Amino acid sequence: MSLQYSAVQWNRQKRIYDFILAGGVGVFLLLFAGLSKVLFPFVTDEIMLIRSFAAAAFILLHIILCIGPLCRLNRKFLPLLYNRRHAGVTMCFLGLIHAVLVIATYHAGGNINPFVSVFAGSPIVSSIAGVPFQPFGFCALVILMLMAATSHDFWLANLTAPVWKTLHMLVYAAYGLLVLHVTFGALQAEINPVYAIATAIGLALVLGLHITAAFKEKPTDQPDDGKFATEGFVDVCAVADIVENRARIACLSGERVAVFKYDGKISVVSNVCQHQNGPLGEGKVIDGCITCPWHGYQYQPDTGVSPPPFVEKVPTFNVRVKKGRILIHPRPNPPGTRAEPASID
Amino acid sequence: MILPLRKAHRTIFCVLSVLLPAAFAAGITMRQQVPPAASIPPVLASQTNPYSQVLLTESNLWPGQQIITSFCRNTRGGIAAKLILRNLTEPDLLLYWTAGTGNNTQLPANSIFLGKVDDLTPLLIPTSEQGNTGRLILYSLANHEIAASSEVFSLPNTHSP
Repeated sequence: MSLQYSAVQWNRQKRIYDFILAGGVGVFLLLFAGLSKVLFPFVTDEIMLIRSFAAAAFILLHIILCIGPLCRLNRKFLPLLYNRRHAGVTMCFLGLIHAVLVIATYHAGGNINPFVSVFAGSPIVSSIAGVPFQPFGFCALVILMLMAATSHDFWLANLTAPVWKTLHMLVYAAYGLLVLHVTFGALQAEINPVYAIATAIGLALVLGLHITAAFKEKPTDQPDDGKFATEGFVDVCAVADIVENRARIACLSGERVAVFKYDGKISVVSNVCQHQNGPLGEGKVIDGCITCPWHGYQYQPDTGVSPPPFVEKVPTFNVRVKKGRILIHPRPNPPGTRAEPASID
Repeated sequence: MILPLRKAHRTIFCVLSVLLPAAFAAGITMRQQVPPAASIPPVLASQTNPYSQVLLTESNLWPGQQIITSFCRNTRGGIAAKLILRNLTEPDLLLYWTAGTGNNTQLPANSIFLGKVDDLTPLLIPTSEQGNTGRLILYSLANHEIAASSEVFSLPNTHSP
């Protein structure tokens, strides 16, 4: 977002991402259909389509949920995060096709409203006091459709970030409901252990990656408030600890801040990007602007303001350099407030 | 800033990490298995399927149709045809056997009526036709027309040496 910045709409990276996404989904559906015809020749085309779209959506959801923690663990996965919302919308669309086919095949054409039938229908077999698996899937689809409908930045701006983020955290509720939907649905009739093992592996992967990433991030959240210098400033690190045009992330008063070194100066801003809460401290200074590694949003390091015509702002922090040590005041300035950069010399 | 979000994330995953594996394990371990029977109970013995031996199953016998055709044998050497119709929705379907290689648009006069088609009942083929070449014809009694005609093939013969 420097003077040469052009709005992030359709660009080459997005086209490549979407091409690979669509191609992957198409290949999966074709492979699934082909294998179904060979291994299960008595299965009708309707059932085969129901299963293929369900499998594609469920697997894609696992991939989407793994992208976040993978990026925390290894920066090489960051390109996957860039257009993750497109994968989410695609996954929702696949699930919707599955739902429409199920309703048309099993619930439509009778004297009961198809949606009522979804909730009133019995499970496949009488197991665990007849756990109804279809409502789980229905509720998960409603959540995913809400998320897909509000995935554009327009909604992020209009719903405000806290509301938008709370809505999109519901993806975990949707995932839980879908695991229940599969466990008490398809896995009750499909007794081949391959299906149960595959579902268990997916579940273990999602939970395990998140827990691993949480443990990796935990030390960074340990407050650095103990090393007080004078006038309330906190000694965070040495100037030499920071790579040129890069940042070091510190934790002050329970929040993360990004300490950037550039052009012989030190500036400190909030570590949280105003776009999607990306970690600014993992980005770099490009064309004189702090650049978020997730989606490329930029901020001027001394003011925390995005270069025109963009209006995003992040809080800044007062900073000093004394005897090669960086001292930061833990109280943030209001977003967009200029904080004089500390000269390294 | 970000800390409340991280706390929410942590709480969610603490809950999911306990609930989901437990629900998954419960769902898998408590599903009911179909109990296998070592022998058929006496009350059901008389209801055993006389056509338990499947000689041949064809899924491509009917051009343009998704019909699975099975030929089964009974204990007396008789052969029956059983059809599973996937996409044919014509009403009142009757199955005929026609010897020869002709392809008629009308039901041939020498067609042998085998029975009304359903997914459960095998239809006995006359012993005299075993081993002969001909085709099966599905005739819709309601529409008075041939609904489907199989390719020419040879019937299995249980009496061949």
